Amino acid sequence: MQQEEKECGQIPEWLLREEDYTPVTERDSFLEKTMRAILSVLARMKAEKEYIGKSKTAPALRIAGAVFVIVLLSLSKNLAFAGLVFVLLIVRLAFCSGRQIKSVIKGALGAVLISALILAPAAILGHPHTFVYITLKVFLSVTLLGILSNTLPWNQITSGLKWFHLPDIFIFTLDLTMHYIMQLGEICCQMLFALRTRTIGKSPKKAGALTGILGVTFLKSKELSQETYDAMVCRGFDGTYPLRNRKTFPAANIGYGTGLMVIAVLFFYLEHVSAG
Amino acid sequence: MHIPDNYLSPATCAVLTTAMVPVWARAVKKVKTEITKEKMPLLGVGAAFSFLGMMFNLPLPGGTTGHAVGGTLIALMLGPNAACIAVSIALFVQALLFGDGGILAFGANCFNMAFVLPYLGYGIYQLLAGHTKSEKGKLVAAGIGAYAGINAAALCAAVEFGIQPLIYTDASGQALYCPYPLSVSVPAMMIGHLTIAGLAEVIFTVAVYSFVKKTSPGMLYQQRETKVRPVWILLLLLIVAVPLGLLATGTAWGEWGADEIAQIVTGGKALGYTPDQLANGFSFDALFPDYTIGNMPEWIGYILSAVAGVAVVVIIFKVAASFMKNTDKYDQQDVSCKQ
Repeated sequence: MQQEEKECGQIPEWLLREEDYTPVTERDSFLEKTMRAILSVLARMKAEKEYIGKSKTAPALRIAGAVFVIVLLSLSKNLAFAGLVFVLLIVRLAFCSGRQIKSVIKGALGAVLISALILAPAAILGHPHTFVYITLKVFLSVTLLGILSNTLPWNQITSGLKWFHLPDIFIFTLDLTMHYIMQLGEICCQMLFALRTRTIGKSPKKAGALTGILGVTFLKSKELSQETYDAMVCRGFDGTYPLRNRKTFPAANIGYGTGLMVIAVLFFYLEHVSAG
Repeated sequence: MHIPDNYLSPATCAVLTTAMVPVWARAVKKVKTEITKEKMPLLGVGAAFSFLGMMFNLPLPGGTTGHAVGGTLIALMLGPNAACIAVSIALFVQALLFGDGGILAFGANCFNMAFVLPYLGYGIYQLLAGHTKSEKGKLVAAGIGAYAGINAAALCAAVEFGIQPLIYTDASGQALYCPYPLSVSVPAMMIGHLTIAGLAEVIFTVAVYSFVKKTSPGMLYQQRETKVRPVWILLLLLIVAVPLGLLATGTAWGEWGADEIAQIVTGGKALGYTPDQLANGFSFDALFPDYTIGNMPEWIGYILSAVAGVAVVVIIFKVAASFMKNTDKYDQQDVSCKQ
C-alpha cells in the first residue's frame, strides 16, 4: 500500500530529466526546396493569368500569323528578310516583361546552341554564312513561338487550336492538363507544408515522404478528373468544344492581318531584289 | 571614335580591357545599391539615347566624321556608374550586331567612351554646378562637362592610335597596326572634336537633359512624376531622324577599312600601304555590318538598325532588372537626387 502511494505521489523520472534535444539541422532542406520550386511555378502561372490576355487580336490569327512568318522565314534566301523579322521580333520582345523576355530567350538560346553544334562543321568547312544564316533563322523561329506562348493564355491557345479544327480530344486533354497542373500543384504544396510542420530537424525518410506525396497526388488526380468530368457533364458538356461566334470583328485583327500582308509583300519584294 | 579591330595591338587592347574590369565591377556594385529595380529600365532608355546619339554622324574638318556619345547626359540623369554601364552596353550592341567598333577593341572603346567620358563629364558638372544655383547655370555646367568629357575621350583614343606605330613596326619600318603617330593622330582627332563633335555633344546633352527635366522630372529626381511617354516619343523622333547621319559621307578618322587606308591622304601624302595586321588580322563578321540589313536600301537599314539597337538595349536592362531583388529603399535617397 505504502509502495503504491509512493509511486502515485512521485513524478516519473523521465519527466524530471532535463530536455536537451537539439535536432540535427538539415543542410539542404529538401522539403523547403521542393516547396519553393512548386510555388514558383504556380506563382508564375498565376501571374501569367493576370498579366496576359490584353491583346485583342484573335488567338487563331496570331497562331496562323506565327506559322506564316516561320514559313516565309524558312523560304527566304537573303539576309534582308531575316533582318526585318529580327527587328520586328526584338521590338515586340522589348515590350514584354523581364520575366517573359528571360523565358523566351532561354528557350531560343537552347535551340540556337543545338543548331550551332549541328552546323559547326559548315563553319569549319568554309561556309560561315550558312552557319550564321541558319542559326539566325532557328533563333527567330523559336523566339517567335516563345513570344506567342508567353503572351497567349492557355485558354486562348485552345480556342485558337479549335479554330484550326484540331480534334476535341486533344483540346480536352490539353485543357484538363493545364487545369490540373495548377490544382495538383496546390495540393502538392499543401501536403508539403503539412509535412514540413510535422518535421523537426533531419528527416531520415525523405524518399518515403516524397513517394507518399506522389501517391496521394496521383489518387487525388484520379478523383479530381472524375469529379471534373462529372461536373462538366452536369453542365451539358458532350465532349465537343463549341467555338463562340463573335459578331464583332475587332480592329486589332484588321491591323494584325494588314501587318502580315505587309510582311508578305516585303518578303516577295526582298526576294525579288536579291534575285535581280 | 569607335576604334575598329586591328588598329590597336592585342596587347594594347588587353591592357585597356584589364583596366576596365575593376571599373565595370565597381559600377555594377554601385548601380545595384543606387538604382532601384523600378528605375533599372531607365538605364535602357539612357543606353538607347547614347546608341542613337552615336548614329548621327557629322562631317568634320578634314573629310572625316564624328558623333555625339551622350555619356555625360546619362551620368546627369542616372549617375556616372549607370552611365558607364549604359554606354558599355550600347557599345557592345554596336560592336556585336553592327560591327561598329571592334570586338577586341571593345575594352579600349569602353575605356574612352564609357569610363573617361562620363566620369570626367559628371565630375566637371558637379564641380561647376556647386557654384551656381540658377537653372541656366546648371545647364551651362552640363554643357561644359559634356564638352570636356567627349574631348578627353577623343584625346585618349588619339593617344591609343598614336602610340601604335611607335611600338609595333615590321622589319621594313612599316606600321603593323594604326600607322599614324601621335603628331598626326592627336591633331586629327582633336580638331574635329574640339569643334563640331564637341558642340554636337553639348547640344545633345543640354537639349535632351532640359527636355527630360521638363517633361519627366521623375527620371532625375525621386518622388517626382515620371512620364515615360514623352521620352519614348523623343526616342522615336530620333530613330526616324537617324538617316540624317548618312548625309555625312566620309569615314570617321581611324575607322577606315583595310581597303581604303592606303589611299588616305595625311599632310598631303597618301599612306601608300596597308598595315599588315589591318589586312590580315582578326576579322569578325557582324550580322548587320555598318548598319545595313541585307540588300535593303541604306536609309531603311539605318532606321531598322536604330530600332533594333534601341530594342536590344531595352531588353538587356529589362532582363537585368528582373534579376534584381525588390528593394524599396524608403529611407535612402536616390543617386540622381544629389544634384
